[in-house]
Amino acid sequence: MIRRVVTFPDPVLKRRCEPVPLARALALAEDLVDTMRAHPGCVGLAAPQVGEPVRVAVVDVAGHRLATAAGGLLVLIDPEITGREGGAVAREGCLSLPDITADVARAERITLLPRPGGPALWAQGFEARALQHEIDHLDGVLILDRVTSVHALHPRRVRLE
Amino acid sequence: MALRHHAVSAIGRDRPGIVADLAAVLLDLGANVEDVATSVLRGHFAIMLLASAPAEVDRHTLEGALQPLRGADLEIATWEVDAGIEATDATHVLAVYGPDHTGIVHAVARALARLRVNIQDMVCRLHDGDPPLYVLTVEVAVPGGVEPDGVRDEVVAAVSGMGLQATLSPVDRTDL
Repeated sequence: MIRRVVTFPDPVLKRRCEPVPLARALALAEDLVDTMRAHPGCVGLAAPQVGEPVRVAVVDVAGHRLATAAGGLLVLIDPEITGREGGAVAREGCLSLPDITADVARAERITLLPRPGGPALWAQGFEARALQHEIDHLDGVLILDRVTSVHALHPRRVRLE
Repeated sequence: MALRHHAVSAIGRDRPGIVADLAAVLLDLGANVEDVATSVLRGHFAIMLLASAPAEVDRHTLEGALQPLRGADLEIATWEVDAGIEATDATHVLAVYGPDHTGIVHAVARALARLRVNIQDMVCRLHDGDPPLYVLTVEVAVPGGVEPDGVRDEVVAAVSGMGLQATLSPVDRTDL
């Protein structure tokens, strides 16, 4: 089911999200995928962005022009980043902050556990960036919390719809 | 040869040619433009610059040369300055964001000043949206002996009553 995307200043975007049981997480992940696919160009979505303060997110960068490697659809349930390497600054947008983009510093390569106790994943480049952006949402962290200078914020004139 | 250093600031309705006119005056006087910062604030072009000039170009001479540029839509101010003042680097970036509110800049700046945290660069913008999103970003130099977490807490305390968020992040410098 396609859900309505909430935007800042909705307080759900600024709180730390809680873990949920697997069955509920999977049902929510389906909605997140439907909602992400309904927004062309959108490569990831986290549960708080549809108003649910729980630790579930989805990422899919396959086919995106910036993706150098892609693991297809990734479902994150209470994920944990276990390693970070390198750093790069690039411009990011967010459906929950539709009128700005920001230059954000991220690790270039990460290892993560998409689910507690599950197999570890390795990601790099644009996919690693998307994963870090979505996992930030689960901790109430937005791109505005990661600006690298006073010149790192940009108004957005063409929006993702 | 001794040089004089002049600070020049100008603000006026934005149009092509403001920088060209100012630069032409400075060039005619043999002045070298060293530091420049400009911005457009709601359709008003603002420029601040520091120029070094031959010793005979005093403030009176510079003012006289700039006089023809002044008009209804351009204000210009000049000062002679000491160019030997040492600058400090920003250590942190502060982001304050949320609904627009009268007094945000004052609340943040007062909190920073109380802790002797110096503002190096600052941009405030009201971004389109429903409701509009106010974002204040400040590059600051947190002095030694002052805890960055304490600075963040002070700013959060100053703005949270207005419904604003505040984040303080260290400036990462990578040498390549």
